[in-house]
Amino acid sequence: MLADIFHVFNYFIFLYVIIVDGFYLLLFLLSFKQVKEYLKQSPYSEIKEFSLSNLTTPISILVPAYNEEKTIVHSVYSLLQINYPEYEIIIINDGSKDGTMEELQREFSLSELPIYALRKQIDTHPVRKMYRSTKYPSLIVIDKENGGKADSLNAGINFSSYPYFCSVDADSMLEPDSLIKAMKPMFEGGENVVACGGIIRVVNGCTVENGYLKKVRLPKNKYAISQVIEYLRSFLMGRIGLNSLNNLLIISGAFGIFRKREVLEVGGYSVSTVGEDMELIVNLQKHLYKQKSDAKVLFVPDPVCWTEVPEDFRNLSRQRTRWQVGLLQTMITHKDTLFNPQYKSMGLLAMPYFLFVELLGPTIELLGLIFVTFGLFFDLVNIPFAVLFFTFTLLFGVFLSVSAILLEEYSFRKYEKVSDLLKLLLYSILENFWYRQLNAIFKTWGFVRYFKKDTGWGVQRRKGFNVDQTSKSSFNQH
Amino acid sequence: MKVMFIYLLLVSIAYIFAVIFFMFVYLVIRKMLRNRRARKKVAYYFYIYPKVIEHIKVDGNPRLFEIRKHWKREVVANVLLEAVSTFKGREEIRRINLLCDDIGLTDELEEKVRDKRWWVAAEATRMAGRLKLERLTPVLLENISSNHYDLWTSSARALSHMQHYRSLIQFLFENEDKLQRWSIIRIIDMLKNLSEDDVEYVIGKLKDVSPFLQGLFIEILGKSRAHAALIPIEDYLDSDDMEIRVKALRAIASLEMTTRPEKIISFLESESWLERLNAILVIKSCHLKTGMKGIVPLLSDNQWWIRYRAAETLYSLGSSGIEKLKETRMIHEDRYAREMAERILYNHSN
Repeated sequence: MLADIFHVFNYFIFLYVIIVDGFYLLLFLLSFKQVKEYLKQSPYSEIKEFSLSNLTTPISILVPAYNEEKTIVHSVYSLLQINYPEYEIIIINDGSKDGTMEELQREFSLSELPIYALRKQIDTHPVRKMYRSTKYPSLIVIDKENGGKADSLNAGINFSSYPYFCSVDADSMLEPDSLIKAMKPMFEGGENVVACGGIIRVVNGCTVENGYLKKVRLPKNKYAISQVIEYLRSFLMGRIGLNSLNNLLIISGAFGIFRKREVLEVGGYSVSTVGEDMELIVNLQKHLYKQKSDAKVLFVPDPVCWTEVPEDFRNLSRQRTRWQVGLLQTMITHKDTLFNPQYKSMGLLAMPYFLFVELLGPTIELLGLIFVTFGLFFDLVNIPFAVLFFTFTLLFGVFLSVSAILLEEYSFRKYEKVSDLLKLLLYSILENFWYRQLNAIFKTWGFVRYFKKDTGWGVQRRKGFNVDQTSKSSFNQH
Repeated sequence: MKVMFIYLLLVSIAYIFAVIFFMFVYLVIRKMLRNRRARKKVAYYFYIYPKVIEHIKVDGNPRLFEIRKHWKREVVANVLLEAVSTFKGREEIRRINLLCDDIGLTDELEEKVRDKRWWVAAEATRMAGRLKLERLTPVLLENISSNHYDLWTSSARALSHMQHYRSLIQFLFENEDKLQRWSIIRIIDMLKNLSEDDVEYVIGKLKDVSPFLQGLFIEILGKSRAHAALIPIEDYLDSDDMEIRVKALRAIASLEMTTRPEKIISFLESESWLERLNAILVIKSCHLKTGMKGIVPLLSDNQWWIRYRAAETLYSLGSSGIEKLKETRMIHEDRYAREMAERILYNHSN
């Protein structure tokens, strides 16, 4: 009896792995095709023309900040140097307990503004004060009571003046042309794009000067390097692949552009989830289906946002369990869309993908490992078969990681040194023997956290950007 | 069955292993070659840059730039693309074009502009436009009628770089019904600094085109600061089409002069907020102090932008306007008007 159950489970795992790996292979091929198309267009698209044109739609950049004293100044400087004709930066200090507000005051000479008659379109926690920088008039700081990231973004939307907004994390930096590249589909597509996301890359290890990324290098920390590969896989393969199927259900909270009208129509960011970025996109997609609109949510692979990633076990586990809780909350909230033909490919493909691959996948993989070990112990497993199957899954994992590096090398080549490439290739093998399993454990723990109703954000410790010290003096002269 | 599975797995593993190995080797070798070539290009760039610049500034010996290797031509092309954004003189552009001919770049681009692969043609078109290679104009004019969006937009852009505005205007007049509205707007955006002849040509044709195109051309005449078009534009203030009237107001605001101040001021009482808004803009840009009386009530308009622009305009009209704002801040019965006056006065106090 036990042996029968065991065999059935084994077959299930076997089939599951084959289907999921097949889907990943499909995503890789689709991504390759889409990147190729994108590269065909990029050499002659005149970014400069858009950045000088009166037709370029103005945009509000919203930066929610909670305890970001180590990175906030560099982030703001990187935003001030963006190449875009008309934009405003709204920093929302979400009741930080550290020196975030003081850092902003000191560096940008903030002057208090009367909170003018505001169209409060979304309910938020009370705003205490509002400031404008006397050095940079386009910089506005809102100081509000703590209500979480989603609440801060909603407050930012209330204060924003322009028809589009861009959400950027306070521990992230945009490249100067990122905004214009991400907005380009909006100019070209006219009314047909409601949201657009760009690629997130790992800033750890890179050198930052005056808010600019001076040198792109790989981090030395093993957690961070593994995340470099993971981000490449996730964005260059996953997002681009899903985008080509018009099934994008997530735009990273670290960098995404939205048309305000639709976001207001769906009630802004949801404050009841820790995965507010995915929740918003799923809400928007549902809204578009219900409206029978042909508008799209897009992913563009070139606009880059550089973000700081956790470099230790504790912070990584917090972040990953939180992501898993957010995903689970969204899947539960929108369970009505699963296999629902009313939502077409979203209901029949994207949501099942997120359920079976992204949400349950790591846990199924972990259970598979446990069962195989258990089977080996009780002699229930065909040893040659188990060894070969295990080797196959590991090798396929390596293949996917190397494929992501191949896509990167084929397209944007941010890491110039051969030594960096060799390191990436080495880690694409190594990560399959520890990081992948670690992630599976974190994500499985996410279920426990959810059922224990421990669904808060937790404390995320920042290390800060790797600042070029020689540039500090010129930085202060701005 | 199990044996077959094991056999299949073995074969798959062998394949994946071979693929990974091949990818590893390919990636590393490619990276090394690419970096080596990049270093060579950088070295050549620093070697050739001063020579090219010298040649553009002073007539040089074309033979110096007899370049056979493709990668070297690429480097020189990049130097020339940088140079055209600095050297704008007619003689300098002529020398740049001569240099392009000498190194075979013009021929290469001509061949590419005719290429059937749209992305190759579009990239070559972009370079031809920026380098102002007049010899390629006929091909660019052919490509502007291409069915491929990316190709015809890059051809239009190249023609605008070469200031062949007349061709673009004619293209718009002839193809309006075939083009998407957004594409038309993109082309119109490229028409900057129209010459006197172009302005005259547009004015002559304006009455024969659709209201949509009329509106866009009125706006572009304003942006080009074509003062010769002021009277014809002012005629459109009496149009039955509200959008045309708004475009005419906007163009007059750009021209910063008007011969019909009373008509402009009458728009402050319009039911359309767009007309009210643009009338305020005209009053500000033309400094029409007689409009101040009509602007004050708009401080309590139900549209935020109108309140904002009205307050900004009052401030710009000098001490009497500022006095009106101060008065509004203190005693106006409408809270929104008081707050807007406060905001503008505050903004200008810093």
